[in-house]
Amino acid sequence: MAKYKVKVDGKEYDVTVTDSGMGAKVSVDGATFDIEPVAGAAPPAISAPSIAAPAAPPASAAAPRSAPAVGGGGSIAAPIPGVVTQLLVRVGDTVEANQIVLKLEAMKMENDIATPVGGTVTEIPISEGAEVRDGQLLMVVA
Amino acid sequence: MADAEVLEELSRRNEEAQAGGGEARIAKRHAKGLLTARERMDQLFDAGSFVEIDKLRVHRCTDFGMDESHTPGDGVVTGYGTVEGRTVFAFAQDFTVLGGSLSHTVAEKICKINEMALKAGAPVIGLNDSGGARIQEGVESLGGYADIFCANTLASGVIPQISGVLGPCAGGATYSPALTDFILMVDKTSYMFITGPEVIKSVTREEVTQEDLGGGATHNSRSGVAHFLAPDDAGCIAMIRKLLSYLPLNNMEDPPVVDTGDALERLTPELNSVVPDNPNQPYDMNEIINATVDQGSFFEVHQHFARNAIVGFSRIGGKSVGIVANQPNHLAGCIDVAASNKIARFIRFCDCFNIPIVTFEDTPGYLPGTAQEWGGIIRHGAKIVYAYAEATVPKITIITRKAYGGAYCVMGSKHIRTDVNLAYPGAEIAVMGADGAVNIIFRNEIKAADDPESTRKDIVADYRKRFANPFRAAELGYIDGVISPAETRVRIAQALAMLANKRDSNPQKKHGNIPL
Repeated sequence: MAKYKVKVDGKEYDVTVTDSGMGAKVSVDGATFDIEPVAGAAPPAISAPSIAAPAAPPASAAAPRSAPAVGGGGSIAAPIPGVVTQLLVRVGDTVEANQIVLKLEAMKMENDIATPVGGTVTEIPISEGAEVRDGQLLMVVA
Repeated sequence: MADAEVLEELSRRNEEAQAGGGEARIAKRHAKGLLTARERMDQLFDAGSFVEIDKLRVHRCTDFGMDESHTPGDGVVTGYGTVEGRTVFAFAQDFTVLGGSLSHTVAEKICKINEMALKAGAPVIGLNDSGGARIQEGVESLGGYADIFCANTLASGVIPQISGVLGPCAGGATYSPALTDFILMVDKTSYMFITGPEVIKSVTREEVTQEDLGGGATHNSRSGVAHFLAPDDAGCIAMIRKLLSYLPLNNMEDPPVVDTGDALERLTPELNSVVPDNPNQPYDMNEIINATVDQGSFFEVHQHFARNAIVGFSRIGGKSVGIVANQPNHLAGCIDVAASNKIARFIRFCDCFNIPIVTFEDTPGYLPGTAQEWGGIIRHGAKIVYAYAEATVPKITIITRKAYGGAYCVMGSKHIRTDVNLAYPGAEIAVMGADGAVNIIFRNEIKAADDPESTRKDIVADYRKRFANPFRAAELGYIDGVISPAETRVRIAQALAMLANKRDSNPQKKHGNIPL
């Protein structure tokens, strides 16, 4: 399961995606949608009343790497599944672009994760020791 | 001597061609910071060397009132000249003439220089900037595209083909650059896509901007379609000139030799402290590459794409070499689908054009996960093996630290025809990491022990001592020597000198069947 915040036209939605292998349950601000990938290039069938562009469709099974969890330069997503071993900044800290903000152990390596943009750390939805999925949101810098 | 009237006519036609789409359109481009097709050609070639051909050629369309409007040269400037004194052919699409749209005449002009370049054994540079097909010409325009694709394909591996994308490049037009060896895109002012944002919105309801969908940054980082990102037109053309400096003019020639003033005997003691003792600590492989090659000569390809691997051109003793490396600083240096494609395609380019390959290996292996397996890591990963095994150019591999499992086999191992294999003393060459191996081999012993955890630790320490080192591979001759990092440059230079006249060949075949 992964939780995202998605901004559409300035309005923020809390989105939860639960992957069941061949499809996904997507919950947007409490309303749940079943999403199934349809063969071919057709858009995912959404079996629930639609609201304006609620969430990104689940990554297609054939995609070589899943897209980052949230768009926008200030969101840092896990580039690889692993364990967060060290948080080097706290919410409210000022960071510079390319500063290393946390360490993520994956493939038996303490990977340095840097922020692509400078600014203030506004959100750290994970804690030290957390196991994170590929693409999971680790930090927001605004 | 022709009479004055004819000369006047010639000069009028030349001027008309020179003016392209007219002053107003040219001014509009300059206001946007863009260069015209002719200005781009002037920057690409050595001063005064550009010879334009087909300057007076016109389109032959008569439908939709097209016979009323002719610009000599039509929507493309073509010709040849010299870059650093060496012959190069080029075409530059002229956006000021009917939006740079591709008429059958434009296609014929491009195919003509392609044919000339093949005969002359010289590279072709394409500067793309076109709104797409000349719709008034219908299927003739489409045929023109396909003729260009065919020319690109036949020239592939014979002469280097380089595409600059300096404006729009959409739909079928994208395949010509895609068929060439390298694509350079200009940040913010160029884009490439098969279907644009409008069509995407109507078909899949996705909303995406042109820049996000197919801008220079997107194709350099996400898709890997482009190999270089340039800040502007002039920067893009300077990068093309630099890229050419590493390449031979054709597949029968050796790459040029440049006096870099960097001694081959130069030791690299600074490398003694680059690789951390702790195998869990990352480091920047660029430090090893930059210390080893002639100073300042490393020119990275695909810098922003699949950063867990590094590929690029450099010089050692003034001679071109292709560098392939894992990057422990990104995704632990693991091999994934994107890195496999990046590495394999670069190796094949080097092999086409007689450029030796130097590999620096430090990888924990292939990246696990459903995304990778379902994304076809088996067939993509196999491309690396295929490319190395097939390549007949000199090949040298240095294992700087980890060479585990399948990754040991594929990253230029001795078994796939690498000429010289070396390792640093701290290298770990084994079927898998100590923890994983011990858990499998000694599962029962550990379970039966009084204190399983301490038993496990003892066995892991013993395993690491016995197998996580380069000596087993050295005893078997799988590596030719264990070297001090300070000797990195010297040993590679010696190997390259020894292999300078290497002859190797593959079995006769029409062509192999690389797992695409």
